[in-house]
Amino acid sequence: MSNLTSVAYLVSSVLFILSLRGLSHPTTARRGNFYGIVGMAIAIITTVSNPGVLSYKEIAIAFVIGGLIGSVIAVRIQMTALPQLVAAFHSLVGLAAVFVAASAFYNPSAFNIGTVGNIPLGSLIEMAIGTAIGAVTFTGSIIAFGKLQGFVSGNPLVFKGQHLLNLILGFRDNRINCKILY
Amino acid sequence: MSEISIQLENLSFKAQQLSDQASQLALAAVESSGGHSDFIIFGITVLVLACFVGYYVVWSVTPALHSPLMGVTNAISSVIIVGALLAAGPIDATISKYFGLAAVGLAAVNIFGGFVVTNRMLSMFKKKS
Repeated sequence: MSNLTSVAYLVSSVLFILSLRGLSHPTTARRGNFYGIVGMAIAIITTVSNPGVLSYKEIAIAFVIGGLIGSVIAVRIQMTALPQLVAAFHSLVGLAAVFVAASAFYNPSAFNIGTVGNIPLGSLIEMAIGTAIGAVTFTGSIIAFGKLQGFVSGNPLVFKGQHLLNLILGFRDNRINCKILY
Repeated sequence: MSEISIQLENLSFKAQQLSDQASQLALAAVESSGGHSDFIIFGITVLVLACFVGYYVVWSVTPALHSPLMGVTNAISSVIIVGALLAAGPIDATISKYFGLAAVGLAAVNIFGGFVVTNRMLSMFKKKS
C-alpha cells in the first residue's frame, strides 16, 4: 500500500467520523450526510486505483446495478417504512462481509495475506470472526426488518422445553469444543 | 604475500555472497509473513481508538436524530466495499472474484440506499422544524 493510498484512507476515515459527529446535531446533520458521501467516494476511488484491481468493467456493472436498486428502493419507499428499510439494507452489508471473507479464503493473494492453503493463522482467525459477525448481522437484521414490518411478532419467542433444548445445545457445544481442544 | 591477498579476495567474495543470501532470506521472510504481526498490533490499535471515537461522537445525540444516525451509520458500514473491490479486482474469473463482485453489488445497494434514506429522513426533519 503506497503512502498516498494510506493518506486517502485516513482522509476518508476522518470524513466518516465528521459525518457521525455532524449527524448528532440538527444544524449540522445535512453536512454530516454529505461528509459521509464524500468519504465513501474517496474510499472507493482509492481502492479502484489500486494496482491489484483490474476488472473495471465487471466492477462497474455490479456497482451500477447495486446502486440503481438501492436508490430506486430508497426513493420509492414510504416514509413510515424507512426504519425497516435501513434494517433490510443493513442485512446486505452482513452478507457482503461473508462474501468478502469467503473470497479472501479462496484467493488470499488479492488481499496480500499469503497463498491458497498457506494463509497465516492471524488472517484465518480474522476471516472466521469476520464471517461470524457478518452472518449474525445478516440474520439479525432480517429479523429486525421482520419485526419492524410486522412479519415477525415482537414478543420473545418461547416454546415448550426451550430451556432443556438450550441446555442440550450448550452441553453438546461444550463436548465439541473439548474434542477440538484435546 | 600474493597468496594471502588472493585468499582475502576469496573470503570477501564469499562474505558478499553470504550477505546477499541473508538479505534475500530476510525479504522472503517479510513477504511470507506479510508483516503480519505488525498488522495485528496496528489493527488492534485502530479498533480500540475507533471504540473511543464512536463512544464520544455518538454519546450526545438528540433523540430525534437517532433514525438518521442509524441510516448514515448503516451507509458507512458499507465501506466493506473496499474489501469487495480488492476481491473482485483480479482479471481471471475465479469463484473468489464472483464472491467479490456479489459483495460489490450488495454494498453498492447499501451505499446508495443508505445515503438516500438518510437524506429523506433529514428533509422530513427540516420541514417539521
